[in-house]
Amino acid sequence: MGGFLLRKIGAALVVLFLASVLVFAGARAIPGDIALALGGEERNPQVIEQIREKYGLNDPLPVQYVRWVGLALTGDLGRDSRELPVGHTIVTRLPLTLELAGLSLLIAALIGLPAGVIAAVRRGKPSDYTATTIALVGLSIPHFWLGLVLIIAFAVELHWLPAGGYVPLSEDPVENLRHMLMPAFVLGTGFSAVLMRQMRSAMLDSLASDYVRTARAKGLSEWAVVGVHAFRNSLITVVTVLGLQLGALISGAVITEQIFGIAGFGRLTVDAITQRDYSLLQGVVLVAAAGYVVASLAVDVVYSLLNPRIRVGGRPA
Amino acid sequence: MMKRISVCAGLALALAAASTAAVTGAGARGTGTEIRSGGTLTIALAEEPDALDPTLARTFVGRIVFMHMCEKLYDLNRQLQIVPQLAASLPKVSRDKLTVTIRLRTGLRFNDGTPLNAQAAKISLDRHRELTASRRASELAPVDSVQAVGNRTIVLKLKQPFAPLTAQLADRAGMIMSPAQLDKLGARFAQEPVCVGPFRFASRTAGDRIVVRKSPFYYARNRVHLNEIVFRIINEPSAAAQSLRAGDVDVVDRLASTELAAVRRDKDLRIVKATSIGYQGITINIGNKRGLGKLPYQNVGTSIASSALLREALDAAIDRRLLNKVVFNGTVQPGCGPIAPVSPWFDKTIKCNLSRDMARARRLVSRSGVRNPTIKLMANTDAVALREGQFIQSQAREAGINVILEPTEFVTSLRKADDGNYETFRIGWSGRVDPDGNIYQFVHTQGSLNDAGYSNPRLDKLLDDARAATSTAERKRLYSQAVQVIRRNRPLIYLYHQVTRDGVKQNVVGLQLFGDGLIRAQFAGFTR
Amino acid sequence: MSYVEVAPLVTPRARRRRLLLRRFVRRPFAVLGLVVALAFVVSAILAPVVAPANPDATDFNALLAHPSSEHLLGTDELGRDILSRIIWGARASIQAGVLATLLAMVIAVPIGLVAGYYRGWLDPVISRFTDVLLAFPFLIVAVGLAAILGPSLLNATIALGVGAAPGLIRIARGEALALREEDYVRAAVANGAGGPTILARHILPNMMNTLIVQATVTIPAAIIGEATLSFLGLGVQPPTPSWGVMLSAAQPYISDAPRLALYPGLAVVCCTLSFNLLGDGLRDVLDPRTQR
Repeated sequence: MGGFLLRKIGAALVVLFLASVLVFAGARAIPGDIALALGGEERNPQVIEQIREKYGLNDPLPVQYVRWVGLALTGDLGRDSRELPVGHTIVTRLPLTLELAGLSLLIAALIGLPAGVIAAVRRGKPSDYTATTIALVGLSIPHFWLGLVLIIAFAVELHWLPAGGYVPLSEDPVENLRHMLMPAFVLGTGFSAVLMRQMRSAMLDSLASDYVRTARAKGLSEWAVVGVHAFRNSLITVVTVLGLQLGALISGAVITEQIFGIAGFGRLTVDAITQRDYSLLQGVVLVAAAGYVVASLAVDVVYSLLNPRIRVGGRPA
Repeated sequence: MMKRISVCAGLALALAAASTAAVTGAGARGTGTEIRSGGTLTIALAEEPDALDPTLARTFVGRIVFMHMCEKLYDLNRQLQIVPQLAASLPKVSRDKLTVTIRLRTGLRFNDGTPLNAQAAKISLDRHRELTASRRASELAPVDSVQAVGNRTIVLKLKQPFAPLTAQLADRAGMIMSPAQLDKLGARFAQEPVCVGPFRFASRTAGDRIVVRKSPFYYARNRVHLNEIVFRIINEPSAAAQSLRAGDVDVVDRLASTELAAVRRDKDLRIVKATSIGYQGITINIGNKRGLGKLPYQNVGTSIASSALLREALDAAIDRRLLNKVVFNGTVQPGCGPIAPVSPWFDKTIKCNLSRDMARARRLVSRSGVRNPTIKLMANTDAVALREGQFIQSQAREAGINVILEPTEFVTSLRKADDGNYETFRIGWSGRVDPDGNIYQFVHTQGSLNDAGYSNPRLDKLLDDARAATSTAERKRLYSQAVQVIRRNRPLIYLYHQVTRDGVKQNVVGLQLFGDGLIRAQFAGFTR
Repeated sequence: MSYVEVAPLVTPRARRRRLLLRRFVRRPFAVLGLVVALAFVVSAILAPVVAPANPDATDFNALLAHPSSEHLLGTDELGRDILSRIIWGARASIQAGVLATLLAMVIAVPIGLVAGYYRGWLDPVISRFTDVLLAFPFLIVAVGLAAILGPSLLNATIALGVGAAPGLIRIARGEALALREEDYVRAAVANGAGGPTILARHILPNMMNTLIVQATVTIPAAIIGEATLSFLGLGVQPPTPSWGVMLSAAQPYISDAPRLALYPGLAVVCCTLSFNLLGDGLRDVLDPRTQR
């Protein structure tokens, strides 16, 4: 186990390193630079040159990269175009996206898990078809359009919910929830469909497995078989698979935050790209990549604990 | 999101800065209504301000925030005249115009409680002039030295006479920062800016909000009613308007034209407006072959660069009145030149056909001898710019000109424009009070923003003469001639002037919007 | 991008074709999906014939017109016929969906096969590489790519294809990994067949069912992807009609003319759903695991 863990951590570090190189190179490959973005309407050549100098953009790229990584290793991600520390900016914006993601997953779980269980248990029956088809519809609706439709319905027509924006939880929990409801629902529906399908197939697997058969043979009630044994085992699979959906979750958050005007992590990233805010962009993407790496590391570890064979075979797709 | 950001970057540049003309409906409607003490005013900003450091700041929205927490030596009044703010009176200028003496008010304290004295003012002015990447350095370039004389007087020595100095000191170059805070934070002043102002910086959440709270140190604190102002960044124009209607925000900076009708219908809201002295138009790459400033400019060889007739045809094909109606819902002011009709420098005698002349446009196309003329138009990626681009495309098509739209993310388009890597570029200018600031940089051979790569010795001479001329009448005559030269040769085709419209809730009183387009809510409050 | 569980497949092929067809026909939703998807494809191809009006023809006297006999779905903010633009918009969507999927397959299948079959040092290298790609949220990569390459349908298609590739690499690798242990592969190895021969003759054909199922779920995902990127201004550029572009342009009019945002969105949902129904049906038919 120790060797396995070390190997996985080593691989994670390699992934992080490659990610840092990619984001650094990618940021520099975008035409125009931060000096041009910050140059103002006048684009005074002297000012632009001074900005380049200030951000060290006149140094060779490898020098810039090493300087950035060196500082990043000490925990200093540099300052963004607002002259605020990147670390601070990320820390203040991340909670919004975490809240959005958390609520979305909650909604997804509340819809997706029961639907998946029912569909599996009642396999081939009308309720299975209904649940499967609804899940397919859920997968077929673009987030951004669902967002627009909800805004039309609940904000423009009915005036029940705000069209966008964000109120910090600490300021007003009720308002916070009202602002988060539509975005979380938009992001959650897509995932509920994914969850439902994963749950259904995992349940089908469990229900067909030896231990469920044994449990049934022992004369346990159907409720105990399905609810306790099959469900619990399926849930583990689903959760581990979900850990790998972090990237999809962030992508979903990007567009959801866009529609609802929430200043979260996704918006921050996109703003950083258009502003050529190199240190911010690099910091943000690195944090996202690190999050993914940690999540998949956790998945690997959990999975290998549950299923020792995997240490040889590799991770489930 | 691309479009969102380009709205933000694009508008920041396109709309920023000054505008003139008196404002309708902006007044302190407070007379007779009692202002309640306290409350939080929420202002929706259309873009995110950049660094909250007066030396480094560059955005229009940043100036709105500074208005409430960083006072300047001078300010503008409703008539756009310069009036003292931190200074006790207008500056005294020596006979040779090289020494400017400024007296400060008494009893000024920064929002950290430390006193503002002449030494503090000198420190800030020197920082504006010397800090790396200072945006103020060029604004104060003619200043040779700053001396503190006693506790209340500063003396500026100039390299050459510089009449616009007071105007500069009425903007960010005149903001004085707390020396104690500068000692503490240095170049990181923006993390927690401390100035003299009715409100002091409380917090900033990047991309989301900036909060300022009533200052206990402000010299006129009894005039301040609000406890707190929250500046919220809402990039999406429809979201901003909906937040206003829903009551989530009290003021919206620059409403989108598509939202005006709904805001007007709402009896709890009102609209205040100010006309910009900037312009919006199409820059045509005539001679920018190797990049901006790489002289001599030589014709780039595209059909639109080579054929003045084709440029004229494009100009004639665009119905500016219809553009206003279709794209902007009738909320801009159509125009043909670099100087807005609201400007005292505007020359009414220069003819301008705001409608189109399709027959002439078609004739010009055939006379140009260009077969199937095709023009690439680089434009922004936001919804409005795309609507506008498609409108121009459709109008040009009727004249037989095929316009290919190239929506380009804003910073990339700047790069391309500077590199000369474009045919035509839909961009504007926020405008300056002096006509020189709206013309020289763009069309003079030496112009720092001459992306058109336009070089015309006759125009250069007119513009140089106008800079040196002393009498206003003489300058006005020269600028009229210059505008006519530009209108004939069309390195730029001017389309319209913007009109700033802010949305305000009816229960907000004392909020002011002058011709500079900045929201002034220092002394605003809510009705009882 | 794909949400589908992997199924190791070993289906003896030809003789079951008729059986498969019969199974497929018995699924009304799958048949419906096929019919609707075909309808979208056909109307996209025949757009010049089918569309009632020129999708670019503006009428500045009929801005945001309500639906009428002249304009069945009304007109947009520049007075263009919405129905015609939706029909023409299918072109961009289906083009992006199909091409991106093909691109993803072309990238992913060989890489996955090589990694899964040969293993050795290549496998961990490829796995780490796909890890890195998966570590970047797709939409952020697409935004970055659009900023670097410039926004266009082609670039959006490339971004979508590249974005879908890592997931497919994993699936192809997993398949190859499983299939190489099959008896007939071992037999071929024992008979002295070379790697390329085995991959081409034995492993790839036996992956076909999985790949077809994957393709039918990747296409709708790519269609949504195209709409999303175009909505963000990163895909198709105006005035070329595309559902995403139409939705993006509709956003400012959401309170005055919500139908501008409704119709193109419904088109996206119908088109995507039809492919998803088709894919689901195919999977049921081709994937023996669900036949348990």
